[in-house]
Amino acid sequence: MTSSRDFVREKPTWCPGCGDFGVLKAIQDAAADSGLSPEDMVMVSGIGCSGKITSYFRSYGFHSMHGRTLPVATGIRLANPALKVIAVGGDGDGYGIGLNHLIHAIRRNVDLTYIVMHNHVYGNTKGQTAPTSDVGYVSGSTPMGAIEEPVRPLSLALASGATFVAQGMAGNIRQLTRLIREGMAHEGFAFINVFSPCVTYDKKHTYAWYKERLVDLDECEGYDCTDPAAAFAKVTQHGELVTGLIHRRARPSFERQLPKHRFQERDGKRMALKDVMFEIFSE
Amino acid sequence: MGFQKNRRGAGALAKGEFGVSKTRDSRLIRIAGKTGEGVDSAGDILAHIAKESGLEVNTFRSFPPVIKGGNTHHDVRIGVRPVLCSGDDVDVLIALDGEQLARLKRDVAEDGWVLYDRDAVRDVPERKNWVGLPLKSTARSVGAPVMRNMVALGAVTRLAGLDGKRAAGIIRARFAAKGERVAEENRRAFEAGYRMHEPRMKPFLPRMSEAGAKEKDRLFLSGNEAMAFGALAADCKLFAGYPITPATDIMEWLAVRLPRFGGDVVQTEDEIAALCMVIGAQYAGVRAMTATSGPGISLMTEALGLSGMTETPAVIVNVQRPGPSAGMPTKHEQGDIQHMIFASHGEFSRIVLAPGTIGECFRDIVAAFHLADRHQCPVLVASDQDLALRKQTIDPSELDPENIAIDRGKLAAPGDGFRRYACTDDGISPRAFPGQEGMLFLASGDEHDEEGKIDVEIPEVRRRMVEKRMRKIRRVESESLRWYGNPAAHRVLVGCGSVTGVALEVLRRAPDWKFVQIRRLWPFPAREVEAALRGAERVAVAEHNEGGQLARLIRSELPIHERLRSIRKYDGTPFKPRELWEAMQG
Repeated sequence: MTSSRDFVREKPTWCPGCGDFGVLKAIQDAAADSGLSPEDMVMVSGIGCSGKITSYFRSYGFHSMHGRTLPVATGIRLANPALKVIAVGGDGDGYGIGLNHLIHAIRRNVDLTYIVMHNHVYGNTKGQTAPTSDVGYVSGSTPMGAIEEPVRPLSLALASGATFVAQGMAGNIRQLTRLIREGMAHEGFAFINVFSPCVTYDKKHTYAWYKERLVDLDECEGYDCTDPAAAFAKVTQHGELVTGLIHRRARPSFERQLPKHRFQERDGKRMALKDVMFEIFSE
Repeated sequence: MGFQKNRRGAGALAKGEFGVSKTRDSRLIRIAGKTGEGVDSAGDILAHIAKESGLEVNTFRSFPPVIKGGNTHHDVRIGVRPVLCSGDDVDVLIALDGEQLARLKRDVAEDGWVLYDRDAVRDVPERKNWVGLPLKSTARSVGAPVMRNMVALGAVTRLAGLDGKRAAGIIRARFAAKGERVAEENRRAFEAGYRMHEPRMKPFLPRMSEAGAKEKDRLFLSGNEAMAFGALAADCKLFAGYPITPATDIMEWLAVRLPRFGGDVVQTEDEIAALCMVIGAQYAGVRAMTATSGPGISLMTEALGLSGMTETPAVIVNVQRPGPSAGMPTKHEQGDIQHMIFASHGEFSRIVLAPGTIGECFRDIVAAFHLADRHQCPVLVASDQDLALRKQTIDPSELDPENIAIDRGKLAAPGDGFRRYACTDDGISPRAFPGQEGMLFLASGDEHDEEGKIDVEIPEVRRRMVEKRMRKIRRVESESLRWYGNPAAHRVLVGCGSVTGVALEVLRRAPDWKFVQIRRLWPFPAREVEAALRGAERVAVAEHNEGGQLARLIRSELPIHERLRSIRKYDGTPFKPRELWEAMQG
C-alpha cells in the first residue's frame, strides 16, 4: 500500500494560496487511494505554473511543451498500456495553444486522465489574458479589457463526445480526490476541469467567489450524468459553474480497439519478415 | 568506401548514351493521360511484365495535385543493367488524349515512337513513327471505354518486344479486388491491344529481352516502401503521422502491416502531435517514428527541440518536396538540407542520414533507430520525392531483414545510483523506462541537472548540461560517405539522395570522374569528405535547390572554396543524365 506521501517530490514554488496546491494534494491522495505506486504512474505536464507540477508529484514524469501534454501522454499509453498516465496542464495550455489536441484526444478516447488547472489568467507570464478570461478582463495584453468570449471547457468536452467529464474546485480537495480517482478508474479519456484560483493576478475569481456560485451536481437529486443532453443543459443553465461528475458513459478505449489486437503476433518473426519481403515486393 | 558493384560499367558504354542511339541499353516508355484514367496501373503492369521477363526496371510517376482530370504520366524505363534514374528521352510515348500529345511530344527521342488514341485525338499530322490506334473503340468492344489504358498497354507491350503472355496473371492479381469480371475484361482489353496489327511497329526490345532472359530473383519497390519495410525490420512499434505528399505511402504501407507485428499506426491531428506521440512512446520504451514532408517538418520543429532537450530518441523521415509553404506537393526538390540540420531554437545533438538508393532507404531506417537509441537524440532521414516514389528493381540482397541486431543503447542497471542525465565522458547517459523499479526520473524540456531536476539558476549546471548534450554525437558510427568510379579521377562529382542514381548512370560514360555520395549530412563527415576530395582538380556539387545548400555545407566545413562548383536544379524535376553531364562539363 502506498500513502499520499509516497507521491511527494519537491516542495512547490507556487505562490502561497495558489489553487494548484489543492490540485496536487488531490492527485496524490487519489493515487494513494487507488493503490498505485509511483513506478506505475507517469505524469505529463505542459508549460506554465501548472506545468511545474511534475517536479512536485513523485512518479515518472515528463515535463513537455506548452500545449503538447496530450500527444506526449498518448504516445506513452500506446507504448505501455500498463502505465497509469495523468496529463496535467493549465487553461492556456489546454484551451489555448493545445486545444486542437484536446478535441482529438477526446475523440480517440485514449485511456488517460487529463486535469486542467483553470485559473482564468496566464499566471506564469504575469497575468495576461487567457482563453478563459472574462470579457472585459484588463491585463497587460488587453489594457482596454478582453473582447473575446471565454472558452467553455465542459460544453466543449461534451460536444466532442467525451466519455468522462468532471469539474472540481481546488478548495474542495475531498470531492476533487474522488473525481480524480473515478477518472483514473474510467476506461478511456477522463477530462477533469478544476477551478484553481490565481491569488496573485485574478482578484475576481477568489475562493469566496466560487463558494457563492458553484452548484454541486453530485448533490443534485435526479441528475442523470449518463445523458449527455441533460449534462449539456445543466452545464449551460449554470454558466459552467458546477462541480461533480457531469457526464460518464461507457465506450472502449482507443488502445483496446487498435487493429493489432486482431492479429496474433507472428512466431519466428525474422523468417516472417523475409516472407513478407518476397510476398510484397516480388508480386 | 571502396569500389561499388556498378563500377564495372564505367566507360564501357557506346557513345551516344545521352543522345539518340540504337545501342542504348535501356528504353523509356511513357504512358500519359488524365489522373483517374488508369495511367498508374498501366505503367505498373508494364513494369511487372518487364521485371518478370528478367529485365531491370525503374518507374517514375509525374502527377499533379489533382485527383481526377489533371495531366499525369508514368515513365517505365526498362534496361538490361540496373536502371537507376528515369533517364533522358522518351522512346515510346502513349498519349491518351491530344493534350498529352501536345505537351509531351518534345520529350520524345528523334527515333522514338508516339502511340495515340485516334478515337480521341483528331488532325494529327503524318509523322514517322507516330501511330494512331483505335484505343477507345477497341476498349468499348471488349468491355468499357475506360479500359483503353489496357488496350494501349497491350500495344506497347508488343512494340517493346515483351512477352504478352506474362500479362494475364499480373492483370488478374491487380484487379482481383474488383471482381472476376473486371479482371477478365481488362485482360481482354490488353489482349486486343497486343494483337492490334500495325505493320510499322517492329518490336525493339528483343535484344534486351534475350540479354536478360534468365529469370532473376528481383524485388521491385520504391524508396518509401523500403523505408516502411525498414521500420518493420527495426522493430518499430508505433508510427504516428499525418498524411502528406510525397510521404504518405510510408504510413499507408505500415498501416496494413505494422499491426500484424504487434505495432500501431496512428493518424494524428497534425504533425506537432505526430512527433510528440513518437517522443512519448520512445520515452516509455518502444521504438517509434514519423514520416513527413517540408510543411510537416516545419511543424515538427518545436518537438525536435523537445527530443533534443529530454534526450529522447526519435526517428523522423523527411521526404523533401519543393517549398517554401505548400510549394509543389507532387514535385521534387532537396531544399530542406539546411533546415534538417539546423531547425529549432537552441542547440542540441542530432543526426541526419541521407540514403540515395532503395537499399539505403531500408538500411538507413534500421540505422536511424539504432543511432537514435544509441545517441538518445532525434535522427532525421533525408529522402526526396524522386527517391521516395520511383520504383526500381533491386537485388534481394539489398534488403536483409534477417540479420538485424536490435541495440537499445545505454540502459540503466538497477541499484547503481541511477542518474538519468549523468554527465558521462561521451555525454550519453543511462536510460530507464517508466514502470521500472527504483528509476523514477523527470524528463523535462526545461534545463535540468544530472538527476533531471529542473535547474535554471546555476550557470555551472547549465554549462555542463549543454556540453554533455552537444558531445553525444562526437563519434557516430554510420556510413558517412560512399564513392564510386575511377579512384584515380581528378574530377569529383558530389551529391546526396536521389542525385546518386542519376550520377551513377552518368559515371558509366565518364571514366575520368568519380562520384562522392554524402551519406550522412550531420554530423558532417568533414574528415572523410576531405580525404575523398584530396587532390581533386575539380569538384562539382549537384543538388536540387537554388541556394546550393549542400555546397554551402561543404564549404563551411572544408577549405575548398576555389575548386568547388555548384550544379543546381530547382524546377521541380530530377536531373536527367544528359543535363547533369552537360553541367559537369561547364
